[in-house]
Amino acid sequence: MKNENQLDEKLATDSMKSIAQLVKDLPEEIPSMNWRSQLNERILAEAKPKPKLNLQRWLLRPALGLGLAAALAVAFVIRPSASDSTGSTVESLMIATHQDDVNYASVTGAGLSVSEMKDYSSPTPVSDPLLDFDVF
Amino acid sequence: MFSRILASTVIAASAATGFGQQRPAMEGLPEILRLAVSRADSLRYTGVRVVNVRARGAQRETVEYITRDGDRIRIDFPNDSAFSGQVIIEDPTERRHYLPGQNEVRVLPPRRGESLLRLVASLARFRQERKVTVENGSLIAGRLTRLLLVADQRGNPLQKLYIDPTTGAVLKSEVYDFVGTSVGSYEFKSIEFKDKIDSRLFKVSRKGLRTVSPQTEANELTTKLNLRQIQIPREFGFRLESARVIRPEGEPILAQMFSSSTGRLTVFQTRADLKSDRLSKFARGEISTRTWRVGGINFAVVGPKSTNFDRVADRLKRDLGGQ
Repeated sequence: MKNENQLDEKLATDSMKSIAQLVKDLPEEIPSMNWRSQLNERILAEAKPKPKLNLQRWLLRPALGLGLAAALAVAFVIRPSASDSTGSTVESLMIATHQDDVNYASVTGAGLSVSEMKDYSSPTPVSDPLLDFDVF
Repeated sequence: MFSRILASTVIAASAATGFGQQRPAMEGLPEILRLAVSRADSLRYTGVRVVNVRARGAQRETVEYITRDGDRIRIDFPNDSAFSGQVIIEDPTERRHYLPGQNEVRVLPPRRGESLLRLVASLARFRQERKVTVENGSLIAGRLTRLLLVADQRGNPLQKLYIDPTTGAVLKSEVYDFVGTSVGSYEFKSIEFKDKIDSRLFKVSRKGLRTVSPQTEANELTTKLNLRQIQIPREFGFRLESARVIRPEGEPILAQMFSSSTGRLTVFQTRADLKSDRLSKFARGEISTRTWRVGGINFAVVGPKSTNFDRVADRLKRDLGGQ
């Protein structure tokens, strides 16, 4: 508190008041709008694509066209057969069918075979995998 | 009568030939298994058997009433069964499945004793790869049994047979897949051994019965699907047992199952794409495969590893015009 009073007394002297008046009278500097406009124009000029990029696009256009044509050909002309989509299961299905037949013959002996269970049971249960997996 | 005697003689001769090849293997097999094989054709009994099979995650149970008189067997089904009214009668020459609903009889190759014969043949063929042990079994149908366990070299069970040591009857059988899950089993719930069985039980007389053979069904399917008719010459010993169509998402596959005293093989034909290397990959070296293509149809033969399989596959390929 003592220091604050001392500072207030010093700032109230005539010499300090004249310095404060000098600072107040200094002109305010505002950035020139012309300079700002020139800077913007330079930034835009730097950002423009170079002619080299146009050349790349010119070269890529036919390739893109060819790629699209190939995709359409695959989709509509060279149609994959149904078997291609099931190719991974045809072979496994064959082996499983054979193995099931061998296993069940070992189990059932003279009793009902699995194919007889499927073909001759009545009434047929709606969701019995034994009965519906391969009935034609 | 004469034809029956002749047929029995032919069957006996062929069975003798088959067993002639297997007899050395029988000598090394456990006494209890030899007893079961030797008594298989002379047992007389009536009994109730429960059969369980598993396919694609589903378990299916059937109850069968068995009447056995030596080499003849009759199977009936309970009234609450889906097969009620049907009768199967099998002798050494054929299996006749009566379907009263359709007034039909399906004539098929006999399957009696097939499992035991195949087990013996398998043990002979894979002597080094199989471990056979015998221990005390459980009480089955009121009779103390001996358990014959067939396992792979690591001791994983492949088949279990519970055999009555007094009669040689196999009262329970379980078959396991390669991860140790039971793929099927049968078990007698009751059994009564008899001195005599009424022979009239093995005759079914119905007027106007339509006789259907697997070959008839196969011919109908090949015509319908525009595929080829397939026949394995008699000299190879295989008989067509069934024909059915498997439907993946694409083209149908016709599967024809053949059986013989030495094993079972399946002939497939389809217009679907078929990769030979993938087929043999799925077979995992345990079974033989052969593929070829003729006229837009892919053929595949799958069966046991044997010289007979190779001969059958060669012959089929040649007959069907394969390159």
